[in-house]
Amino acid sequence: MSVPQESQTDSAAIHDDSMLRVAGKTLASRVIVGTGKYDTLGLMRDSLAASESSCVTVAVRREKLYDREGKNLLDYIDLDRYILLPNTAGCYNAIDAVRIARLGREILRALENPGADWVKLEVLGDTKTLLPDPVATLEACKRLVDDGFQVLCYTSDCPIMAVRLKDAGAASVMPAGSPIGSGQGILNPNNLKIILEYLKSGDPDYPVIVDAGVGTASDVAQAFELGADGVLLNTAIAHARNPVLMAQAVKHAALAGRQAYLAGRIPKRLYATASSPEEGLITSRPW
Amino acid sequence: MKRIARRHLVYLGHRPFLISVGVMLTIAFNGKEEQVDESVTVLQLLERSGVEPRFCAVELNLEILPRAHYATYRMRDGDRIEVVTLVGGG
Repeated sequence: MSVPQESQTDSAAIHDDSMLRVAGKTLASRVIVGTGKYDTLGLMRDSLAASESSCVTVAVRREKLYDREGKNLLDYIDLDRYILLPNTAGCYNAIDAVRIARLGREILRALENPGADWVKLEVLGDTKTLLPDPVATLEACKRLVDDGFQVLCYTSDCPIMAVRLKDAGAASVMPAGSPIGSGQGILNPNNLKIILEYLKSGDPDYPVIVDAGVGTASDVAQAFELGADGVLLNTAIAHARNPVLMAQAVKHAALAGRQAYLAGRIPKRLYATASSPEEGLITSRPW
Repeated sequence: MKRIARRHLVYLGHRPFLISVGVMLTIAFNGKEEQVDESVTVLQLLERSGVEPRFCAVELNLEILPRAHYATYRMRDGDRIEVVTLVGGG
């Protein structure tokens, strides 16, 4: 007895879909990972590798003068392998965000890294929630776009703000699933659905990246199942009991979530539908 | 923060002469006030602080200082200099 061999699926097309197109570049992975909060730089390096990401975020900070340990983050990041995405974390106004973005660009240009004109813009409004200041974020986004930056913009899950940022020229809008580092996952999937609908209306390739709030692999899968193009996370990996293992889990979750999105989930129903046929049953029912 | 460079007054007879003896400047270096020799360059500041210039960027009085100027720019009194690098972040 033989099994029909003709496949109805195009697995090559699904494989190619693992790329993330953003800001004029194609990233080999849809996952962007942060480089902060690791116990050691070696653990960070191994976790980045396990995630198979090709883009990592970095922060711009004062050099530690005189008392340096001699170890620089860049000694642990293969610049031929990763695009560096400098962030403006810790900025609470547009002026500081622009300053930090320019300093980041200056460093990356010297390193000849392709991320030199990229910035993950975040302008925060409050130290307790780390929620974005929408007014300052929009202002900084406009200034940075004018200055030639590719702005990947952290924002809340507000659909109206997301539209404003796209209109201001953001290369990608990056709504938070929940507050930074909170691990609460995606608190308002409906808002994300609306953001995806609005931003992709007439522009299906516009990249929307869920940034912040991821707690574990299933949150990553959920973001992709909703239709996000990418996920950016840091704490979920860095503070996992086993960061390298979590990085692998995130890689698989991204693939699973994206494939599930492309495959198309079934609608939810209130009542059950039997998977086995009614016809040909030999049993009787009590009613 | 602006402060006039300290100079040493030396009296010769009745007439005061102003003689510069190792004029010191006051600058803000990564937020910390420091006295540096007049004529010190940015590159010298970086080197003596153990900073790898390849991995850093320099902001002078809120403007980026181009890399080509590290060796030529001499500190002026009241300069505010920030030297930054990349660190882990999300």
